[in-house]
Amino acid sequence: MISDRLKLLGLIDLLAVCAYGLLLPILPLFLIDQFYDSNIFNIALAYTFYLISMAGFSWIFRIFIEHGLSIVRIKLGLIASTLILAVMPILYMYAKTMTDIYLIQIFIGMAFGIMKIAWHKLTHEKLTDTVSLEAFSHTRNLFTTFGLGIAAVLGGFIAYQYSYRPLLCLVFSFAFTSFASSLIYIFTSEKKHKATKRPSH
Amino acid sequence: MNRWIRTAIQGDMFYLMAFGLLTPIFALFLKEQIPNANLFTIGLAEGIYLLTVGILRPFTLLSTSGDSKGWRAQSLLWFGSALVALTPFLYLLSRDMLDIFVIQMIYGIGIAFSEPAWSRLIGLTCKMQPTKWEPFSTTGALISAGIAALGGFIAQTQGMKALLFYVGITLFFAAIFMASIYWRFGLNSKYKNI
Repeated sequence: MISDRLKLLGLIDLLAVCAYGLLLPILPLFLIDQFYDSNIFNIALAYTFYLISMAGFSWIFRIFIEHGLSIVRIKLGLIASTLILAVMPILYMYAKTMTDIYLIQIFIGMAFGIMKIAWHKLTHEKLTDTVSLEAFSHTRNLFTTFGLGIAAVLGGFIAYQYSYRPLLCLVFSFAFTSFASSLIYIFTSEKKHKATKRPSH
Repeated sequence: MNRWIRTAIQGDMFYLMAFGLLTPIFALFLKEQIPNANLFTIGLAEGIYLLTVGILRPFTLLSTSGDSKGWRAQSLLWFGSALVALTPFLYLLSRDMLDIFVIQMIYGIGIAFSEPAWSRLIGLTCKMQPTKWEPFSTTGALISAGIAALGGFIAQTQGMKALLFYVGITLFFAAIFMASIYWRFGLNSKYKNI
């Protein structure tokens, strides 16, 4: 049986991934339409920056949490990464050149890199004997794939019907819900921690 | 097994190389080459691919996870890889978005067949647990980052059709390479315990 806290972690991940899944399939068209200095090569370069940033920061964060105050750093990592993901759609709206887009892509890569490690650590911590890692990751993959599929169709429809700005607002709302869920996750854990400590005093 | 070959398999770099070339600019290819492509139909095409994978993957996963020797997984890998390798050439032949939707479905079937089979074969031949793959996926991400830039450069200088042709050729050789690696060093090898 999957616990409520594990479901909440799953929701945080699903919302964050689906938020960007709304935009990702049509991101090249968004860049071509909105930025005068965009071309095929620098759109691919933006994608490259995102991947390098994600790989680099996930590696750095993995080393960072191996030292002291591990659980605090993991929780802070989750909050910081979801906060960055929530802010980025707003920056997309106000970006003027492809250089701004490169920076945004680096920040998004950083957020996903940190979130990947923090989320995995927290998930492994919450997994019990009744739920295996393999079963949980298969379930997560299934939900994420369906979520991304639906998000791609929805994102394309909104951009086609109403333009990019409402789409970016929707991306923001999904990402912000993910951030709010991660705050709920952290604060409820503190409450429970206090509640378990109180009787011993 | 040679440790570099093992790293290549675990880092899934050959498939990444091919997909990474096209991924960032696939929407632009559709917009430029297909007459009735718009934001909605491009989103729908991506959705069709993902939903096909989402629907079929649990079944292929179930099929491969119960396969103790790996023979069924190997057949699924071959069949799936053949479908995936066919996809870029079908893109070149497509005339409207309806063709693209069908091709996306074929591509989804290919991925749903080959990806779980691939994971299973890595588990069987390399004796590696998924939790130990992290360094390889980081390597894979860095490789696909470089390949994405290369894909953009090829499309910019030589055009989208040339890029699709390169993707198709790379996928074709990647599929043959992966199949022969598993055939030689994996299930049919005397070096099973590596």
